Amino acid sequence: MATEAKADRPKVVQRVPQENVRNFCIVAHIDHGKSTLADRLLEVCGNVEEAGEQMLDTMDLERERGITIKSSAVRLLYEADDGELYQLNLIDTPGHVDFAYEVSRSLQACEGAVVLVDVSQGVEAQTVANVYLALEAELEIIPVINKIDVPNVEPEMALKEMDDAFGFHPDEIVMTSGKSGVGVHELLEAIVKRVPAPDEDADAPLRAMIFDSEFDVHQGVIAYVRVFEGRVRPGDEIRMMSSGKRFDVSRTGFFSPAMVDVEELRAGDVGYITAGIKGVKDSRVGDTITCAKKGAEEPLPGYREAQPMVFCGLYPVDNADYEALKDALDRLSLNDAALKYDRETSAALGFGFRCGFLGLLHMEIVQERLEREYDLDLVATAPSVVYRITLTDGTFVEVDNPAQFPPRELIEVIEEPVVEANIMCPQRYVGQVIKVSDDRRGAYLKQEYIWGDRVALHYRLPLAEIVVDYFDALKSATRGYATLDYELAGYVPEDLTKVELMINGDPVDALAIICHRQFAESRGRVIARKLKEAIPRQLFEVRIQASIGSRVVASTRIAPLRRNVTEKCYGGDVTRKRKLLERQKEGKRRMKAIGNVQVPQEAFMSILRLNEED
Amino acid sequence: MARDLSVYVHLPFCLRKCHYCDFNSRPAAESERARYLAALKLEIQRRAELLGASHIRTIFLGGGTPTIYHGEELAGLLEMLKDTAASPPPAPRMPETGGSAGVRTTNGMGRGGTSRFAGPSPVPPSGRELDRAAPPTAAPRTEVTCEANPETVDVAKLRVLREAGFNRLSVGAQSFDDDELRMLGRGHSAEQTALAVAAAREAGFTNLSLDLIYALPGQTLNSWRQTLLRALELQPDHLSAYGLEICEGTPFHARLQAGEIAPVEEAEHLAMRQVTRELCEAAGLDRYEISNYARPGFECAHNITYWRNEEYLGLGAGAWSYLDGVRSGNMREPREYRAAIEAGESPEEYAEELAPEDALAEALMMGLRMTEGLLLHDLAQAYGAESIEALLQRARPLVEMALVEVGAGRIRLTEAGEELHSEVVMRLT
Ligand SMILES: Nc1nc2c(ncn2[C@@H]2O[C@H](COP(=O)(O)OP(=O)(O)O)[C@@H](O)[C@H]2O)c(=O)[nH]1
Ligand code: SF4
Repeated sequence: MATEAKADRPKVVQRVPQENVRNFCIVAHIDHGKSTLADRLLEVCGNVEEAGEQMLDTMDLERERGITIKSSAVRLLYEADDGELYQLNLIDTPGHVDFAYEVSRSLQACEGAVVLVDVSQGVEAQTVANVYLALEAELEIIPVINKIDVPNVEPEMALKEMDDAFGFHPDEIVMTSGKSGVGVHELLEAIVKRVPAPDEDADAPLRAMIFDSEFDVHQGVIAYVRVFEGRVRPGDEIRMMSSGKRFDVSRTGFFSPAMVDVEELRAGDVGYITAGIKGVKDSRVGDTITCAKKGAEEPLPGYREAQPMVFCGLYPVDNADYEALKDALDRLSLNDAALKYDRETSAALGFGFRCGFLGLLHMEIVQERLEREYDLDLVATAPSVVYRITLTDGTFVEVDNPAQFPPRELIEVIEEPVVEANIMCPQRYVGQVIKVSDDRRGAYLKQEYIWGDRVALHYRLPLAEIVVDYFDALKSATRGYATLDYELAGYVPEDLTKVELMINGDPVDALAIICHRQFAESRGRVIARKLKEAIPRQLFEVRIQASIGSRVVASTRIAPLRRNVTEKCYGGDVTRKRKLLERQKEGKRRMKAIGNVQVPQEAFMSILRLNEED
Repeated sequence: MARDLSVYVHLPFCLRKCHYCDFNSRPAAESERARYLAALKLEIQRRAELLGASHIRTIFLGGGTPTIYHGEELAGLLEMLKDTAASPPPAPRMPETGGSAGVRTTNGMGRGGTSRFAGPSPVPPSGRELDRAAPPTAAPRTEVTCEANPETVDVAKLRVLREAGFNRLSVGAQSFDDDELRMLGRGHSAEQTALAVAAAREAGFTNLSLDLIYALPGQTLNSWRQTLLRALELQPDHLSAYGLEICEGTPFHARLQAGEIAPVEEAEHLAMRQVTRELCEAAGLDRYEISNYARPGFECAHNITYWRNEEYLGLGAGAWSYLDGVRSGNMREPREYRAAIEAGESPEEYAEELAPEDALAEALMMGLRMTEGLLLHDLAQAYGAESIEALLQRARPLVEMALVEVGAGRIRLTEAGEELHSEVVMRLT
């Protein structure tokens, strides 16, 4: 979170006319130097004394995973060679299919995109994908080859790839080094000269698009907005066009990256609004803010409510942590509009929550944050989608938890959600994409040529397959070159069945999955085997069985542990040996007891990634 | 009252490094070995106060290969240790009247040992000296062990040791199969081990132990049986048999990683342990600890100190001490150790005072290694009745699984429990 500007600091906030505003983002593959270059831009424009820590990504987790979950925006003031003062808004973008919608909103807030390529790495698959999105958003692209200070690397290869992949000519490409600062001035000039200024009506009724929003305990939600029309200032009453909720604006401003208040934000500007909003659920990405009175008639196009697509159970390993988990979820959801959760109980796992997520990555991030920031030990059950079931008596239920599937004899029809997926990849990978998609019950719809050798494949796929590992499988089959976006495309009836797992004869509700009948047996077998691998040997024999209905389709056993002893132990290092045992014990404590079997957290997830060996 | 103390002395040098070895040992030139010995003597001097004020129950020269040194060097080392321990401490405390101080049981199994190292007492100094060549039937005495590798001893050298007061010899036999010995990287043959044992007997060692390793990659149950039989033919008074543990950083580990060797299967390993127990017992060697067997009365009093979690002083590179509830360890690398000693600095590189629950955990971890287990009364006295109550609570499911036995005032592991010692200790602590 950026620090607040000191109240007594004189606000030398220079206003520039709209034609001197430039809104842009940087598209780059991880490690190609985006953060370093961004810091350098900030430094050159006098935002910071000296580039120290990288400023755009804020959360540890993001940095570790090399992705940006949240966008932020920083304003730079740049005095160009033409003697004019320009306001440059640098907007950061997340980079994963789970957050594809957020990316599209961030791009929507820009007029230009800097495409950064590491001179020694060349054009990477993800860059290609993102450039395509930027082109779709009709952004002006400034190609940049970065890290040119690296010794003994000739830019020829990178230049050629830029040409091959996008048709950029050497004379359009800016050569930079975020590290040494070479070319940064040229880049700033290119942004000023090539990125078009916004051309929007400041006197129309307010329409501002939220492209990110973040919860802060002191001031409530900070909404990052791009103002498309009109103006907004503290004291104004605003209205969220999706919900109709009204709020009084308390602050308007921008990040430098410190928060700097301004009198107003107006058409073309990028900045923040705070309005005493209590949680990000009331400040949704993509929503349009207008003024409460005489507001705009129509919202900006493209709003989509974040809709959880994947559900899983989250349970504390220690039942006593239930309340703590609830608190943590309450707090996380203040900052995560897409996170949904409801109480649920499991015979095997006790009290917990059924949680809904945008996708698997979102799920993993939430789980990790709960464990790390709130110090909770959790068990997550395998993710599931929402099934629609018509019962024999004509009633209709939605089920997002395999454990709650009605008995087979009561089911008339099961419908599962499907998506229309748009997969883009170079021509040479089409075969692989088709194979991966067919293996996952995909139905081919059509194929289009985009530009160069890029192809778009359209498939209809069960959402359940997407949440399992479709994207991972695509990426590995195409060496990272495939991009994926998808949209829910309704429900279709399918021949689905529940596969149950039993440990020592007792069904474990948290391990049940739903799958197509055709694959049920083989999945049952694979899951049983995976569990056998994941569950450590116990002091007694453990039997694992998979069943469909009352039919056991797989059965395996984990032999009891019979030897675990340090045979040679004398006076040396007794304390170290004790500590070793303590650490092992700690590991056991983090396992969930199912009956008297200690089951590690990973076991619940291990039933997920099946296709690799299927 | 003089405190009971066991003394461990580490001599970290070997002729060559065995392929499985992760002890603190390595080859060194004779000059380095001599300087190390000198440093060790300095450390002994620094510990004069403690040594003089203690009742020395056992001394153990371990390695490395202590017998890489000349007999006279080892004799001199022991001499010096004896002299230091025999001099009353300069402390202001009044010397106690000897009385019972000279008679102490060294183990609770009723097979006691008396020491002449009873610290300050009115007995004249000569009387406190170690008995020179006591006959086998002599009253128990201070146990003084030296570890030996077969290729580094002969009768003459062993005589020097015996006469200097060493009364127990622990011979590193490891295997009686020459191919296995080669694979282990040992520097001796099976024949040399047999000769070393004969020499030890000739030199007057009446308490002799053999070390063996089993569960070697590729070893069969039968080849282990052959090794055991040949070892037992030599009629050792004591035998230690360890399953091979392949430790990181050893050539064995590298070969394991490269897939050239595979660890022995669990069932096979257990079968080897079973055979060990059967053959040893048939030969009159009873198991008294997870990996140790002895003729009654020949249990290693020194090692029992560790397992009973009693106090000991470690001298030399990487040696550990447990004194006044503090575990401490010296620098491992002999050169660093020596440099510290020579510079007049402490060679200690680690020390930790144990919290009561940690001390209890260690007492359990060590004590449950012994067949006799632990006396609940002693535990309650040392750690409080409540923590022992809690311990017994935790023991309950393990008793049900027949891994732990509680009875006759003791807690001990069953045979199945011993094989799962780590697992059981985790659940008890
Ligand atoms: N030689 C050189 N290294 C750079 C340059 N820019 C960034 N790096 C290094 O490249 C790595 C990744 O940089 P970073 O800015 O974190 O990349 P990001 O993942 O794209 O944000 C870091 O180790 C940087 O020090 C540059 O211009 N020249
Ligand atoms: S003789 Fe013993 S200490 Fe020396 S290298 Fe061999 S196993 Fe290690």
